[in-house]
Amino acid sequence: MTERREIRIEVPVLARVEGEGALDLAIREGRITALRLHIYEPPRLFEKLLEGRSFQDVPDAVARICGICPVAYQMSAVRAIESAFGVEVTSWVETMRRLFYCGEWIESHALHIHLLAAPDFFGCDSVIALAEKEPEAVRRGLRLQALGNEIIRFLGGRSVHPVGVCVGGFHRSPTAAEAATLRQRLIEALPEAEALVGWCAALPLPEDEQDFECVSLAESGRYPMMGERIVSDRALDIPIADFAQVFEERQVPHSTALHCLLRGRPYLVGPLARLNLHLGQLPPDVRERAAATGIRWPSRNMYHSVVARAVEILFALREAIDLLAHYRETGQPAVAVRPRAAEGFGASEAPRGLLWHHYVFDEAGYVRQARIVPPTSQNQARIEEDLAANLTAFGLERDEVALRLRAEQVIRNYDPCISCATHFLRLRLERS
Amino acid sequence: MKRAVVCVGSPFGDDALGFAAAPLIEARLAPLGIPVWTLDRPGARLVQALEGLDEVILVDAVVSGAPAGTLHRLEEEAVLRQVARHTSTHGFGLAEALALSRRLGRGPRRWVLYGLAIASPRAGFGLDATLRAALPALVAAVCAQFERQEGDET
Repeated sequence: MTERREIRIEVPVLARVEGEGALDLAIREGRITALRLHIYEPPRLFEKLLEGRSFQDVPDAVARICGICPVAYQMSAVRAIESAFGVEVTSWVETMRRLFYCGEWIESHALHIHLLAAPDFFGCDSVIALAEKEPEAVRRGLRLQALGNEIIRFLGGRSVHPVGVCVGGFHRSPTAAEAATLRQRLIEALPEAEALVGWCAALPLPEDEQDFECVSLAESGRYPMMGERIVSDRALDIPIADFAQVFEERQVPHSTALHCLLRGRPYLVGPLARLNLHLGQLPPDVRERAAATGIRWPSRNMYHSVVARAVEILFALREAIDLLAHYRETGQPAVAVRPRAAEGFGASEAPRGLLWHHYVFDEAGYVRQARIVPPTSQNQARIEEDLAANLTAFGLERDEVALRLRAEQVIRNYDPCISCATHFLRLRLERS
Repeated sequence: MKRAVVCVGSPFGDDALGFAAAPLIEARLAPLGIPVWTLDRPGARLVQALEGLDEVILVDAVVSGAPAGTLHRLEEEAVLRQVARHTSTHGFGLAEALALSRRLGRGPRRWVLYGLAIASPRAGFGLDATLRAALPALVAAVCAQFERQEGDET
């Protein structure tokens, strides 16, 4: 006998995510009839705010889009601007940008694992409750997060909305003594990052294999942070300039963030997509740690994204230590930039995934047009698809509390940054 | 005993209260060698700032429903009662940071929050005239607490 049952679950405020969102779920006679991830933070209008501003203002303005991943916004922006103006940066700048990025991955991933994701797996409603059950793990997480912030401060002057970046490089070259002190602290933290991978893999992560396309940047010969090509595990391989021809952003009525589709289908960006695509680019010892978790990579289980984050923390720490090994101060932390009328594209791998920027400048270097596609809007359609499959497999007959908790866990797997994703809604005026 | 004053705020509107109070408190507490820090967001970074302290005074703008400029003084448990049960990172604030710090056993044994009631957070620059008028009383209350202790010890 089929049970006739109608359920409507409303999660008016999603807990433990970056920013404010909500979820509506309607179940009728054992089937999901409506599932909507609402993003109701107001549109932020950043792209419009940038219009008419000088290219020099862009890195500091876009850093304000997110307090967790300002480096990503700055790096995608400066690379887009430099590509427009034909600027070649020095190898010192390239190296320091990668170091800067390592800091952000460590800080953002450590925050997500400990403050947002892990409490679920210990039956805790918050990190405060988790701190009672796993105090050492929470302390370790906070130390790693602080270390990531320290790397950002080393180059950015401060860890939130850093101000050290300019088009062409950085405003200042840190001293060799500062670099040596930082490197030593990173070396000391390596055992903690190694232990974190095991701790995350030991969490009681549900089994939930799904079919999805993984998308990330590719960077020649190394694990991608910044790159010129976008690749997928289904044979996508395009220059970043072609993004808008292949990926389509759509408005949906229930969200102030745009949905982004690849060939009309949802897809995944972020740590799990990166690890699935570029495991071979990790240093052998990090790869071994990833393999020792017992997870068979590439993984189709989104719950493994928390382990992917821990692996990326270890990788970023190792990478930062290597990048600082031969640090030399420079008298030229930035190259000269001469604006011209041109357009440019820049992309980087924000902690949550691919972050794509496109700018059009006039001959004096003022922004005529800006377009920013953040990772959360790219993952939004995938989150809804995942929720439908996961909750159906989990059992739609379960009680409301269980379904709500499960739905929140699924959403948290993507570490959505709702503040970043809220976007300006284009006005469509119909007159009759 | 390691003591500090942490002033929480932002450059905007009445939320700038902590930033406006910080230099005034710093000047007055300088003879006691008590550091005064400003923090633009009280989340996980406040947990780190509190590590190793024995006692801390926190200064922040407070939305309490009381008339703007009302001076509030809240001790430990009164602050902890403000912890939100479910919160996004945007809601991980001062009370949550203090609760986490206490749970980890690394934070101060004693804390007091001094705040002035504000009508509501608003955009723009500069404190409302009512708050500007109430600022000296806030600074005096914060400083008097540490100055009194110093007097008791000597």
